[in-house]
Amino acid sequence: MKERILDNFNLEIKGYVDVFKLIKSREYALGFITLLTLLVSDAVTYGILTYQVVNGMPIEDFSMYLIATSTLSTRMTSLSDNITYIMREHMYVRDLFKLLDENLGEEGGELPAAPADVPIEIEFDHVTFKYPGTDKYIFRNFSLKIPAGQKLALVGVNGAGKTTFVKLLTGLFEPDSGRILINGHDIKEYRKTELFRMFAVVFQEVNILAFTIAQNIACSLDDIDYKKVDDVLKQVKLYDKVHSLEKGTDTMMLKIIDENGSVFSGGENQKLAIARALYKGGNCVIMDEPTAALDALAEAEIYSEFDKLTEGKTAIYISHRLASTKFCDKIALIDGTGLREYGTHDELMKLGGIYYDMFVTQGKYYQEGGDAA
Amino acid sequence: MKNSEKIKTVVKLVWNISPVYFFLLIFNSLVYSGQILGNVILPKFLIDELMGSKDKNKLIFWVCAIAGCNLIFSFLKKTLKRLLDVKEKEVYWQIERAFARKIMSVEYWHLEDPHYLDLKERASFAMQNQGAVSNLINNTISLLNYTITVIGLVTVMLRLSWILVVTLFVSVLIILLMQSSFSNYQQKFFAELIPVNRKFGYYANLVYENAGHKDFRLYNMQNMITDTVISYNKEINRWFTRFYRRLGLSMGLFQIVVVFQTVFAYGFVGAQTLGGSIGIGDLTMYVSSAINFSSSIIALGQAVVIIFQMLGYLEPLVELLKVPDEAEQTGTRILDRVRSIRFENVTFFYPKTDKKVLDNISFEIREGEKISIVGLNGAGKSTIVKLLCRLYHPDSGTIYINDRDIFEYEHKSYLAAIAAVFQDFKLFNFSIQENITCKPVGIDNEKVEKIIGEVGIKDKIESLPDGIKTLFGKEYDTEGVEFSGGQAQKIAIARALYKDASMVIMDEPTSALDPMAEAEIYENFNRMVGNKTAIYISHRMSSSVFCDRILVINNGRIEAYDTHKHLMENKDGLYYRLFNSQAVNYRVSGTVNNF
Repeated sequence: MKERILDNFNLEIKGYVDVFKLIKSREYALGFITLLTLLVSDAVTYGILTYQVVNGMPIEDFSMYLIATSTLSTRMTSLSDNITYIMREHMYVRDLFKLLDENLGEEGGELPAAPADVPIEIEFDHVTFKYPGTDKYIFRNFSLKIPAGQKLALVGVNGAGKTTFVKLLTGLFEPDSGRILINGHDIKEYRKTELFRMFAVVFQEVNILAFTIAQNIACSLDDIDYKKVDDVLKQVKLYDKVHSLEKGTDTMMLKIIDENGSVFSGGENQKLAIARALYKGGNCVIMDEPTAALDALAEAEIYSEFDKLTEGKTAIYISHRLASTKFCDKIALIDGTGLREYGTHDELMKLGGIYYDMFVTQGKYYQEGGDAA
Repeated sequence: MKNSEKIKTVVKLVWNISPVYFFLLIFNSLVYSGQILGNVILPKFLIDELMGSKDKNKLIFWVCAIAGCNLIFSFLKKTLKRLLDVKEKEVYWQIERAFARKIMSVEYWHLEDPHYLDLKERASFAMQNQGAVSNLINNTISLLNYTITVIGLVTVMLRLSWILVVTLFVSVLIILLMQSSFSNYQQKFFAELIPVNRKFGYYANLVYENAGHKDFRLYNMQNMITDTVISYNKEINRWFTRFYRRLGLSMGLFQIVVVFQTVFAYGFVGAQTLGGSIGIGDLTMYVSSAINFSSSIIALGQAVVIIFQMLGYLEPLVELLKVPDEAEQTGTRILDRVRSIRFENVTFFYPKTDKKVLDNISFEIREGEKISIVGLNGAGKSTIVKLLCRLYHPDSGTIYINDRDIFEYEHKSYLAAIAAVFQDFKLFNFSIQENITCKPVGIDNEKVEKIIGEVGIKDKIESLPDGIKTLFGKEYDTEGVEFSGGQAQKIAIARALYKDASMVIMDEPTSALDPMAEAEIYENFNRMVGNKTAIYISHRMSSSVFCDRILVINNGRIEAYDTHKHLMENKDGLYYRLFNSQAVNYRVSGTVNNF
């Protein structure tokens, strides 16, 4: 593998150098014109001056004019260099200004967020979506309503669109057609920052940054409610771990900024991310595979705490672990096109469809294990 | 580290990449100083002629000589610039490549050791942000140019008087002393600035990486990051205010000395002319020699300062390049297949910490056995696997394969004997086929077909426009395919299976797979792996049901090592608790069982 990468590297270097060579050769060819001008100007200057001296101009004037012309020519060269430089750089800078001026939809509409801590109602109304630049539809005419305060488990095979669901709902992507409604209003009507404010999301990939633990949780440098930080740490069972560290919640994370910074395990990072979501509050909690990196006991802990963690909020729980669906009010099973099965755990088990298959497959070996016990 | 040693390393590195480059550099310097000398000396003859006989033919000859000399040197300069520009880029990237090769070749533990991480970061920061390599090369060019120019000019001036030369040398000495005092300050300054710069770079780069952007938006982290970047920006600004104040002072003094030099040169040469010992032509020549001498010395001094500064920046790179390759570190014994594995009293601390991850563990795996390692997060499961892959050295105790210390085995054969899928595996922007086979040629197509079928990704691959030849990722090809976490995991598993190793290690191979895919993989595992020895790590307790024996790790120690059946009999054991905590969610009620 190593050699392969190095070979590729070499190939890219060759390609790059070749292109560079082309540019330089062009520059070189153009350089001949400069050479010609140089020859002419040298010959003319010295020629005229010498001629003048022969015809009686004093030698001190010769020196003066010689220096004057050579200074003039160097200054002219640097002047023209500067002008070309400014013109060339302007082309690059223009792209930057264009990007800065363009409206890329970062503002959104006018509506403010729903009042704090009141669960929101969410509705997907005939939503169709494919990722920009691809042909594969993730959702086709997808409709689903999540009443305020409901705990919904979203399940499906790999690639069914579970994470895309979250990205659409939080306004990170826009549906190609159809609408997504929160409390009856299209999410486009909300100001983007207000829309973001309503959601506390724990994404699959956890981003712990090189800030202190408290800053990582509060997502702010100094506007931090330390009591609340401790509360959420207790809820995710990280309180003891954090306070066993010398600087407690002011411990720096990662080693990059502070050599003595803390590096947590994958599971602990996941708990920290959940703490971040709890601290934020919001009107809707979304957890996308929050337990993938957790051991069985830690996972069971999160499950049993889930009700408390999502109290008074609409909640969406995404997981491959179908066991997690038992503590949710409803289960939505999606596949590559849209909603396939919807109901409570018992209803879906009675239905005997895909959900039933998945559940039984996953539980099979636990049954055998159970027997052995 | 001594500067001479750094220079030696860099020169050796560049020499290995392109010896031609050195000759070009030297020739370039000769041409550069040749032109300056030509412009200093030739006008003298023209002036002498003008002052003297004013012979037309001779005058035309000298004018042509001046113009021709400039033309030839300019032509040579441009030609060399063209050659050097291209060579310089090539050399720069080849140094980057040498750096990349080194990083891939050193023993893995270096990459998790904060000291080496720091070196690595500083080395790439020096190359990419500070342009240390290009700056070093360019200033070496200048250094050579000016040195040769100075030598030439001194030779010219010596014809007039050694007093002129000696006086100029004394003033140059003063300048050099000032320069070196400043350069010391500068080096110290930049060394102290590195950590600040690195912190600034970290926060500034956060914004350019895609990874965090979902969180930045949804948690309104923009202010926190911008504020931090700005505060570091201000700090760096404060640093540089100090630096430039010092630089201004130093440059001012420097200029004063230079002015004195010029005054002296004019005065001395003027006096000689008035005294009648030299003509007007000589006056022009000597004065312009002296002035060119001063400016060349200034440039020379600056080049020296920058070279030392760059060598300072390159210190991490040089130190990294000195780390021996892993292949040179290990033994020579060829490992053909794994017949037994034995950990004997192995203790391991995380590098440079006092955190004990494994505490005196001993166990044995027999040929063909399928072993599952279970335990809580942070119990040391992955560490066992990493030790076995020789990514780290145990702090005490020994790991044996076929009753030989694993470090006795030769590098390549050891790698070939073990196939591992890690938790944080990576797919590369090659074709899918290459991602599985890890080589561009000599592929056993039938085997690839069989394996992609077994891991359950065949349908997906066949649905792609170029099938198995489709490129992974969009960086190289906009038509490239992107996989979901689960699909990527399947490719990673296929990669391990394709590699014909006698031992397979899977660390959390199914965490991103959905239940159907997971069950499929588990059920096929034993068949796919065949009679190879295998180690699995998984939080899905159901996976251990398939294994011959289960190694239960608790707090860095072995709690039990037995079969699933026996372990389940101990209701107080960690294994029972782990298994049950998951199993309880899957107890299917009576009615449903009838389906």
